[in-house]
Amino acid sequence: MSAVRFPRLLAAELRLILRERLTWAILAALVAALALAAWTGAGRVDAARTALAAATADSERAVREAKAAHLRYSQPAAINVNYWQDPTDAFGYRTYFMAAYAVKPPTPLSVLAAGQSDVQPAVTKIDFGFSTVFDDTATEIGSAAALRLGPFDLAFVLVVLVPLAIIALAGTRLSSEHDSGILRMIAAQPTGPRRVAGAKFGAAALVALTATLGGTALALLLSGGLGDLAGWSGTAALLAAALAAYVVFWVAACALAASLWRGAVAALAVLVLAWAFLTVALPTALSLAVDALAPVPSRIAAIDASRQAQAHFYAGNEAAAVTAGWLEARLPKDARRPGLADAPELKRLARDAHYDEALADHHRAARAQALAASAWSQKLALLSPATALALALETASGTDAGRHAAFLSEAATYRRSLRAFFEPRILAQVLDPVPVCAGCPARLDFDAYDAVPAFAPADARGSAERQALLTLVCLAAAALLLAALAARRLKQWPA
Amino acid sequence: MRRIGAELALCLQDARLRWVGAVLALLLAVAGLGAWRDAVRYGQDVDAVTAAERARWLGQDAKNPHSADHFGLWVFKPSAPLAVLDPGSEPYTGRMVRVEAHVFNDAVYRAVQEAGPLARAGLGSVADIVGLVVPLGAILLGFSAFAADRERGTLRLALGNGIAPGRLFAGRFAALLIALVLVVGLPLLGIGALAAMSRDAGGWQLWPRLLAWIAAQLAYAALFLLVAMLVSLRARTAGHALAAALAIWVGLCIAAPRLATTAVEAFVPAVSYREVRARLDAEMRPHRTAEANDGRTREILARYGVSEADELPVDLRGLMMVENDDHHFALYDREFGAFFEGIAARERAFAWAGLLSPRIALQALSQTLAGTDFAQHAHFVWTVEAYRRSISERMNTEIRDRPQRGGTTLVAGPELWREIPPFAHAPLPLARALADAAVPALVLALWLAGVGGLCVPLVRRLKP
Repeated sequence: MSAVRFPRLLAAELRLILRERLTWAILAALVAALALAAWTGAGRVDAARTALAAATADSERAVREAKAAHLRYSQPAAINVNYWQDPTDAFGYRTYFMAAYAVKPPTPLSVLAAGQSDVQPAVTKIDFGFSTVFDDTATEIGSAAALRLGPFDLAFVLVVLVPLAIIALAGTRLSSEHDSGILRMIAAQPTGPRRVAGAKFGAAALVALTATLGGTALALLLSGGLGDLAGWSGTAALLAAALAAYVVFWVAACALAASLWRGAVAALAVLVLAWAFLTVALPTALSLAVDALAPVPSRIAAIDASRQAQAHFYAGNEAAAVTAGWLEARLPKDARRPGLADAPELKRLARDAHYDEALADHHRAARAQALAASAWSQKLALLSPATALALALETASGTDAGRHAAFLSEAATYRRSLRAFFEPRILAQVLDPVPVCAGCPARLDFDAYDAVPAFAPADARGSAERQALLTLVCLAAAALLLAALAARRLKQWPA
Repeated sequence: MRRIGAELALCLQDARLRWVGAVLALLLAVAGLGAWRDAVRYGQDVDAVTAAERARWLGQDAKNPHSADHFGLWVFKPSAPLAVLDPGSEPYTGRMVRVEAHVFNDAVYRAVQEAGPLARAGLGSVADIVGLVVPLGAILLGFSAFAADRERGTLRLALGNGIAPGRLFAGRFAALLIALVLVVGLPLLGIGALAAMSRDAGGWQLWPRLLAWIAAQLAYAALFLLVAMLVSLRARTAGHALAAALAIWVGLCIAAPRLATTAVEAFVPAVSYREVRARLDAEMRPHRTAEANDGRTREILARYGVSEADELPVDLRGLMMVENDDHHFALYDREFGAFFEGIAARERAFAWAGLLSPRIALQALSQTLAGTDFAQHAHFVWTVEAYRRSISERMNTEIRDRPQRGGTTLVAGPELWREIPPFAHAPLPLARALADAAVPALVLALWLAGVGGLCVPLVRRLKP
């Protein structure tokens, strides 16, 4: 008897696996889950775009209303306009009218993973003053039950359910033949165990790869949640390759479980426990490690510091002293004049600067912790195939914690740029008030509404591509390692 | 009883019980003690900063009452003692609120914001372990109850000895349930007792809560034990029983809960918080313009039949602040009232979504009994808002009722600050929690009754 060629064996196994009703049931369930997840993802991306559009519309409305008020108040009238709501006063515009936002737009691949987006809002209004103890005060209250259970997104299906589908598809191959005694008949043929296992698990891999990659592509196309992939096609290709490596990893795990020759039940039990370990237990342990490596600074201590600063500012003559000090740092001696420190606008600017200074260490510590936690998470996530793929999907979606930490830093920088824009203008108006007209409710001449800096979101493409590449390398290495181990164990038929 | 004793003795000799028990006890102890340590630390921090805030409020300089209202203070949500066992909605809701004039501030700094990105994928709490791992433990203990005997041929012997199948089933179920109570119930009771004894539990009616909570967890564990035994009654081999039970576990504990999230979000729509805030801003904006302010001033002067503010029997600024706040309070009540009711409706829908998976029913039941459900958070938020309003009202009326003439400003001192009591928050009573727990408890009971009911005909027709 001559040995059967591998392609013929593979084709035969492929025919066998496709003839099983269980295979089609699993594939149908998987594709349905992918379609549902893509649909929920598309809804989430739509909601994110709506929030961004609302922020843009609000900023435009604020400018429109300021210009209209400027016109209205620049004509003689008996109306009384407070300085803090006067659009011709730079301070009034900043306090009462301006609606400036820092935004984190969805990436073209945002449909893939909800990530941290359900607890870390992508839009934050830039405020000045005391209420901003930290950068991340923006909040989006929602159903806690939904947040606890988690979203049914593509990341969940691909990372959690796809391995289970593969286990159901390939987990008992070879071992069920072992249980039923058919393995003896197969072993009697002039074909080695590696070749038989290669054909069986190769066929399962082909089916799983086609269903997972094809199903995901189909679900994405049908959902309409994908954005314009210009510049992102490399990341998408790397993710597809990483997903393929993930599928191969789990098929190789099935082969390794079969190579234990303990029967179908033991193989299934081992695989499900391995799955539970890699997707549930190991992430928990890694999370504890991140907590230990990047401990969270106390929010309560920061609040306490902010309140100490506030109490200090309002105690005795401190407000005047702090404002005088603030002016000293900004005005040449000959420009100062008596009573300047009593101007409420300057007192407010000095107060905000005083708060910021008092909280600077807390801000720095919080930003450093967020960046450190994200960096450690990126490294440690690679220790589990499930967390590695999840993080790659989240990074491509722009919903990862690393991007959010960077976004909060950018928002803080934007806040400082707004302050740098307004401070000299407010100071100049206090030093040299130029009325827009005599007898008008508007008292000054600020009209640079269109010149106020806008927030420029950072591009998330680089980090997404890097993470996808890193994940691909790790998953491919893990899949090869498992396949090699299985091949080594499958050198001989069981006794 | 003798049968149960015999079955229990067999069960205790099984290495599986030792392994399952050891793993569960270890996981529960690590999660529980970690949560207890964090809760104690948070409680101490909150006590210290609350005392500091009170001292700052009382120690502030003499100033206009409205400036004091703006100076405000921070209040902090006390963590429920049983949050050590089930943090519920606490990590997903804000814990600290800045109380100040005019603004219904958000409760900020959710623990989940600070948690690393890997934290949400795992087993963060004792309740997560009970929801996910305990069913696995129950399955591992129960899958072989009949299938292994059938496979070995010993079931034929047992039935041939004249033991009624029903008694055999009841004896094995009771023995395995006692084993589960030992490996799950006792660690939970230990952690709960530690939390109860080491933390201030005033107003929580802690022991009845704890016992009801543990009973709910054991009912959930018993349900999965029944599932495993149900499968075992039918399966030809222990292997088939294990495979089928694991598939059910994946379906009920992993896939169905997330499907329920999608279903509830699709069928119970709710406005986003951002939309509510935007609507509030849009309604308040025309009220705050200089023109609107002038209009209100004229209306007040006309109401009192005077032409100058100094002729009023009250302080104009104080009266306007009282009326402004009344306007804002009504808006907040309407918008936030509807918003919080929308979230509550979603939470109630999740209780019914427990029909899809007992894990969802347990989550709703467990957090309600532990006092960590969204209703407790909403109660805290509205208590803080009531406190904020009481401060604003007192400060505003002080200004209104002591009119100042000739542009002078009223200055108040410590006597007025002392009139404001410290913030006190009493949790919703256990009776309310029990009422809220009725639906998820019913759903969990339906699951138990359903699976138990399925067992009855299979037990009657039990074949070796």
